[in-house]
Amino acid sequence: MKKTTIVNLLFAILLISILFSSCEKVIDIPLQQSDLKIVVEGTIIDKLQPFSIRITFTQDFFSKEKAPAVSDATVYIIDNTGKTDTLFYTTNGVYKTHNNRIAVIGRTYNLLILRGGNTYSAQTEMQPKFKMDSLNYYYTKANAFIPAGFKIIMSGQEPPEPGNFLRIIALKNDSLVVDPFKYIVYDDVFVNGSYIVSELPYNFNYNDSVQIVTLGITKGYNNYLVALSTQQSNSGGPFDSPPANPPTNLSKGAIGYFTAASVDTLALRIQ
Amino acid sequence: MKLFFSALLLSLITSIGWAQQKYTISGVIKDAKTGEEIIGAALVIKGSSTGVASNSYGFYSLTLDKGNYILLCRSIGYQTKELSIDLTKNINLNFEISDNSVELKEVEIAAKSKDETVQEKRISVVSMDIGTVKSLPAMFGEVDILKSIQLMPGIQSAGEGGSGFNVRGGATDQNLILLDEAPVYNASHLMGFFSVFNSDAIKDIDVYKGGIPAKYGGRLSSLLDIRMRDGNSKKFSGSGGIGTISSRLTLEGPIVKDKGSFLVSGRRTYADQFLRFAKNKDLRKNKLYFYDANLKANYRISEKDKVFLSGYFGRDVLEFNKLFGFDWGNATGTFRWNHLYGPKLFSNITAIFSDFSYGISLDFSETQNFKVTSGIRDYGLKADYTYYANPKNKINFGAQSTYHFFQPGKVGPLQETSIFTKSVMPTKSALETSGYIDHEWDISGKFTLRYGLRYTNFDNVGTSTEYLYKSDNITVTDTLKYKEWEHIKTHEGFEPRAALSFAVSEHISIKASYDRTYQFLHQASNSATTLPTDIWIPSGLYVKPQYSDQGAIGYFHEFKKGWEASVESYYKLMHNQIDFKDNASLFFNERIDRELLVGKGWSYGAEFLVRKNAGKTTGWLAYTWAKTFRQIEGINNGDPYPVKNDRRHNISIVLMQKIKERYSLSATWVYASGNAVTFPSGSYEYEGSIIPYYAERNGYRMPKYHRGDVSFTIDPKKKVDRKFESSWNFSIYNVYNRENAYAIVFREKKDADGNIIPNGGTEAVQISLFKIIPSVTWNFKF
Repeated sequence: MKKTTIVNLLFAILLISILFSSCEKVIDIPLQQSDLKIVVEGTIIDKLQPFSIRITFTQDFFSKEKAPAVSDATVYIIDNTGKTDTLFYTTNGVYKTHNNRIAVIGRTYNLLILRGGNTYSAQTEMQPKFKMDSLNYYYTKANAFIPAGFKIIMSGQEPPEPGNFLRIIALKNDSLVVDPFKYIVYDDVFVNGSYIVSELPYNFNYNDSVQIVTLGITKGYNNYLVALSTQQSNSGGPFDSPPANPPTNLSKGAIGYFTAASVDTLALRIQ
Repeated sequence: MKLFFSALLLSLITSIGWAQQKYTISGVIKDAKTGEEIIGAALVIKGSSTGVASNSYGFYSLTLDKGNYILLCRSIGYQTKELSIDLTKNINLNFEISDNSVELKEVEIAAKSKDETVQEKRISVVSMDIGTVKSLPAMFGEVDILKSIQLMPGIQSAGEGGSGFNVRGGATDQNLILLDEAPVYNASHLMGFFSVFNSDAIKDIDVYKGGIPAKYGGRLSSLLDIRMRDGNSKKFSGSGGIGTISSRLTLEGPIVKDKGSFLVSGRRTYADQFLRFAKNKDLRKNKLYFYDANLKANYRISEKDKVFLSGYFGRDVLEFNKLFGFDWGNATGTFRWNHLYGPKLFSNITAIFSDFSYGISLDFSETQNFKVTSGIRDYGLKADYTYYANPKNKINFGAQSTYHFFQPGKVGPLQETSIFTKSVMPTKSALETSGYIDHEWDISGKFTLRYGLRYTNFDNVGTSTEYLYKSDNITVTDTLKYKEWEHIKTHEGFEPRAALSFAVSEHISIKASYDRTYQFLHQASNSATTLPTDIWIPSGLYVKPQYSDQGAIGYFHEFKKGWEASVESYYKLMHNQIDFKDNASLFFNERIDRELLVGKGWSYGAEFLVRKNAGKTTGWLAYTWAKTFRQIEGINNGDPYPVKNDRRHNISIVLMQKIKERYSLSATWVYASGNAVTFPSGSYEYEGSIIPYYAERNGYRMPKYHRGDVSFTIDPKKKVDRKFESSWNFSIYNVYNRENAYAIVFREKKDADGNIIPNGGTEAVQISLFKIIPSVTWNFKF
């Protein structure tokens, strides 16, 4: 459970929508722009496909442009057995290996980016897999938290060792579901080794084709995603913590995250 | 320390030196109508400056040479009583003085007795009369002590509509809030929008922004000393009110007439009752309320002994559709025994209990449910003595010991089918023991010195689990288990305090003070206001106690017709200040000390106050200019940064106007320059979202804040022998409906349904919380 996020969310709902009438208006605020930073986005998985990394620049906060791509970097991924892969620039900041690759559970992967005389690096480790046994669904009426619709119940065995982190992604008719939370992560701190039967916080309709993807991720990436979602639910009010950049694993002031993840996928159609 | 004892000795020798025939007058000063003991009433010899003030229990002791005297007994809002005595032996003399309002009709209502500020020897103290608090306009009509004191210079609100406050740049957890000597760990209801103090049960409020007497310790920035009323010892009576969001009822009366009395006061909000009328069926099932109860009883066993029992219990309850439950609250209790060892030595022994706890339960489904509980509990014993050596010398001394017990968190399933397993974070315990001595010395008619020393020893003891770490400070190398009462770590601190007052003339005085204060408990709060989930953590193996040094100087001037003016300036240096790492996780974190960053803070400023205390029109204008910074390795690249509540200018204007006998109007206006805030310095894309990028801490300012409130009170017609009286209060919060910025959010543009517009860019959105809020309260008395 994302404890903090849930608590914050509930505070916000309770206070702002029930008791007090709040109001919003768009305002003009001049912001100063900081120096350009390198932004890295990349997840390598245990499925046969090219390793892929995206590198962009930060830009002015109110800019309406797409993030400027970094096209002149040299990019390597090196694992702890010494195997080195070179990634080549394609388009829109994306670098890929020429051939299909697979990330192996238990191995450590290093990302190396050389650009403008700087070397940026990051390290990640492939985590155990959370294997789903089954997906089920049921219909629920609307309540104060959720609209009416179909809910997915996921079951599976949580790996026995403590310190597992799980990210869940849902696809509805082949497109990514971002509602109500964009980043859904679970840690096993209260449920280590349990057989998990968990209702997922998505809402589906009749005849939807549903794909649920579980990603075994590192604690570091879990923290990164938790920080991202805290930041996105942060209203900047007196109840919120001071805003901060999510904790990156990249060196030299680069931001973003490089991660490896073990993936499991199940699909069903709601009928 | 040497200096301290030499001074003490010197003053005592000089006073004992002239062995003349001396006698002591001692007793208690009470309200004639209710029998309630009056705090801070003055007993002076007519035509001289010799005198004494009654203590927290209404007790006074005055030792004089044998002879004839005319004594004046006076206090705020009371008629002065005159009495001539022939002092030939020790006398016990109790005074009963009458309320001004009994006889004065349309004439002057003095909120304060003449020249009180100048004769007041203390510096940096804000005393607020409960009558003033009740006549100020209030949000939802809820009279609130903590919000009222925020209208005084140097005391800032921690957030819109909130009862959390910052004193002279201090954090919200640096205020020692005492309710009848018991510490209150979380003084707010409903996330800080209301304070836990029911004004019907409160007698007296003092806020020390500096010059804190050695008797008190444990917090860095201020002391808020709240005393509950004792209850009417003459006759049974009641009072209460029905308001927009809450109702109150207070009953009080004698246990044995003039010997003992009791008071019971309760309050409950009913905001959730309105939910029953909600259109959405699910909303109707929600709970959202708080209640509190104050109890007090006292009994005079003999001329020399009096006992008091006081208690507070309050709770907030939120329940959301049976899915989510959240409740929290304080319970405090004190038992006090006043004893006189002869007419000159007053003693008070106090047993203290204080508890704060919260519980959160989530019940989403048969498999997904759990409850988290956490809390802090204190058991304390305290002995305070005052020796009234002579009119020029008073010595206070005492000792205190408190056992703190911390339950940082427990989690467990609500049903056996839950996937959540039971988990308990290691508890922590500490024994805080202190001793103090303090001397109030009237050196000459012009100079008064109060100086003291406090020593505190803070022992962490078992049962607990502590961790040893590698040099990276994260990797655990060893786990140490401590048995019950097993010693873990000791911290200690000496706290010298001094305050000097110099009367330049009858109307002008200059005062200066220096204080060192220590704080051994820290509230893990990462937000500007405190939440019930912000747990308290003790100093220990890795967390050092905070301490601060503050110097203040002030000029006080009394004018004619009840006008007075003052200016105070201070500088405060705060050591071992705690902040948290970026993205720190404070909730249910067993190793919360790994998330701490430590550094220093400093604050300075000037506080101006112009006040009118007499006449049909009373009120004040307060202006504070202040700066507060912190410098902590690991935050803002180690560079100094302003704290969130670093507001340069703060103004409050309070106006109370008596229109006719029965009508009164009051208005307040507050202005504050913007809080320091962190805004993005750029943005980037991650998984298709636009994420803000932050480069510095608190580098921007929120828009300025201002608000006006008004209230109108209709009192009952004055009739002799009327048993039941009622009054109406109408108030409007934010009367000119200003949309003050509560928060500014930076986000991707959304459409009318709240969905993010793809490639729609970003926007800055200002959120305002409270627009105009009218409210009505009906109050009654019988």
